[in-house]
Amino acid sequence: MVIPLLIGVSFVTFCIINLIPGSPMANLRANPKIRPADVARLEKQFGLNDPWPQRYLDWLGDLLRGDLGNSLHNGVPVSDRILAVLPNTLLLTTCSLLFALVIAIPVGIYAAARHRSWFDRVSNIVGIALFAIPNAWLAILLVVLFSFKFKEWGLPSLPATGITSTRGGGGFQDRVAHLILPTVSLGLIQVGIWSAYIRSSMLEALQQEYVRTARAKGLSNRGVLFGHAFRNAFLPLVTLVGLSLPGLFGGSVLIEYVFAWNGIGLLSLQAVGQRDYTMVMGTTLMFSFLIIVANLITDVAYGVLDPRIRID
Amino acid sequence: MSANTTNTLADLDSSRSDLFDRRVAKPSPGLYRQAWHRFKRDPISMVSLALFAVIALFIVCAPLISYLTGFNYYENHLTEKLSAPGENGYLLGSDANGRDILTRLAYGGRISLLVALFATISELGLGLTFGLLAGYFGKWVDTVIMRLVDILLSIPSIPLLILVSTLFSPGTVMLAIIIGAIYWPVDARLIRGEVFALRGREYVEAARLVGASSSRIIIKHLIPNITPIMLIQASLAIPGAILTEAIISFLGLGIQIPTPSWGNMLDEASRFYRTNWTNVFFPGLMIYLTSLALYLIGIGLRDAMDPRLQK
Repeated sequence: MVIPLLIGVSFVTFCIINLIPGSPMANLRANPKIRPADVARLEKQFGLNDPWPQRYLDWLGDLLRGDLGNSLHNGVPVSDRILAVLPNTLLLTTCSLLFALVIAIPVGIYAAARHRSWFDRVSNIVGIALFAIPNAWLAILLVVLFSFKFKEWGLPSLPATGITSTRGGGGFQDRVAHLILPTVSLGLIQVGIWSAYIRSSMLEALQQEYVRTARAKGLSNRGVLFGHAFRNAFLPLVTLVGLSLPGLFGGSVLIEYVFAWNGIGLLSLQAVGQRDYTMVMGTTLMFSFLIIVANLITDVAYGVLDPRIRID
Repeated sequence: MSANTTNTLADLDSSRSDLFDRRVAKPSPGLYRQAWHRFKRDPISMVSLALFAVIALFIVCAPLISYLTGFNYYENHLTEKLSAPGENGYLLGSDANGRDILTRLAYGGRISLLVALFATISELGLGLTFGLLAGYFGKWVDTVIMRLVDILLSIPSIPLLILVSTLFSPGTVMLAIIIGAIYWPVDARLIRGEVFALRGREYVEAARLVGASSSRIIIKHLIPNITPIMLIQASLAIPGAILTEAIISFLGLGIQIPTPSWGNMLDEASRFYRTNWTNVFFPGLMIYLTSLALYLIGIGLRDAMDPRLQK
């Protein structure tokens, strides 16, 4: 299932990149000092005159060997640069995911347990209010508040950009301080949706027969909630998290831009600014690859968590 | 509830004549009227509708706003640049070129909303086409289209949008079409599911037995019954398109300056967030309120049209 998907993604990206008007040889052709014979020779050497299926297979072959071409900006192999910054993006996305889960799950469970209480209503409204927020806007406003205003007011402030800073010392505490604002801006938006989801699936689980049986047998409320209801309510959340992943990766591009966070998103934006098509292709492919892998992990996790389902 | 009884009787009459007068099975007019009545009863939906109406009014009256503030949206006043709200006669402050933020918000809203509208139309157009084809003709057509949908859904939309926008440097209309071309797979999947469900209904089978052609069945039977789903999807897709346009313009790849759009106003303002944070606050606030209102309207519509809640 994964392999055809990867091939399909590569083909679609290949088609898109080949729709660009113009060719890499356009600049050379326009240069009167370069002989047409040399241009033709270069074209043949780079395989630009080959029929497109062959160009696609050549490209795919390179891709499978990990060769994504060289950056048009400075000649550095694209895959090197991408792999160098990949851990930063993964760190940011994983932390945001965990942050959102850590808040959403307790809120959802408590809202379900205290159904129709003020907490339920308030968390519902807050959740709805949160999920339409544009995350770049939220990010900038958080920076304004926690970095600049706090500094003005003399309170301890959080750093505004980067993964570490020289002033902070580069150690663990510094990294954590730099991680807080980006994580919150990326994760806060998911909190509303996920907590609403947990709440409704908990409510559904709490109406099942086995809950009534457990209560009749004398199981405490907490035992019912965590031992039975939550374990069943948790599973659809895994699917929901999987579905939110493309949005999370897309959002990370913006957050990396706002916080100058050295990850794949920022790399792709820099490449865009430099018209470095090779790099942009490479980053897009890397994003797709990450999504596919993440979906695979979600499916496997689902299979592990739910013994009733075994993925073929 | 006497009001309801009257409605039900009226609906009963109209649906009866519906059976006699037309050979075509459609949801009775009662569906939309009923949905509107349910929608009206939900306070959140009505507040959101009111909010969106205010915003739409603000946008439509952009020339009036321009006249009232005394500024237009494109003239530079470099001596009064980056004013605070209330300073120099600027109600919400001025941007880095001295242009009035309030007026630009109104004109920018036009662009943002127009792009979102066209994007939703192209998104639904593509989604409807592919969804209908996949759902109605089934078998290999369905497989091919669904594989394409899976592939496109594996590429995260923002990076894909960045890729396409870099390569093709789109203008306003092209941008709308590109945004639509990125989000159609979700709609296609939804519509395909609906068509599958509707394909087995009796009236479709009856029409086929009587000899109706595929196109006739699709146009006269399937589409009217998919319309509620599409309306709901549209009302949820428009805010998504607004956010997408804002994001891509914020990155500098969407609507190009000097044409105002909420997204690129956010971009221009973000360079000055240390000194003029209100310039960042207001465009973002407009994006937020508009998409929030539209999302809530969409959710309200979905709940109002939910067949499970019908008697």
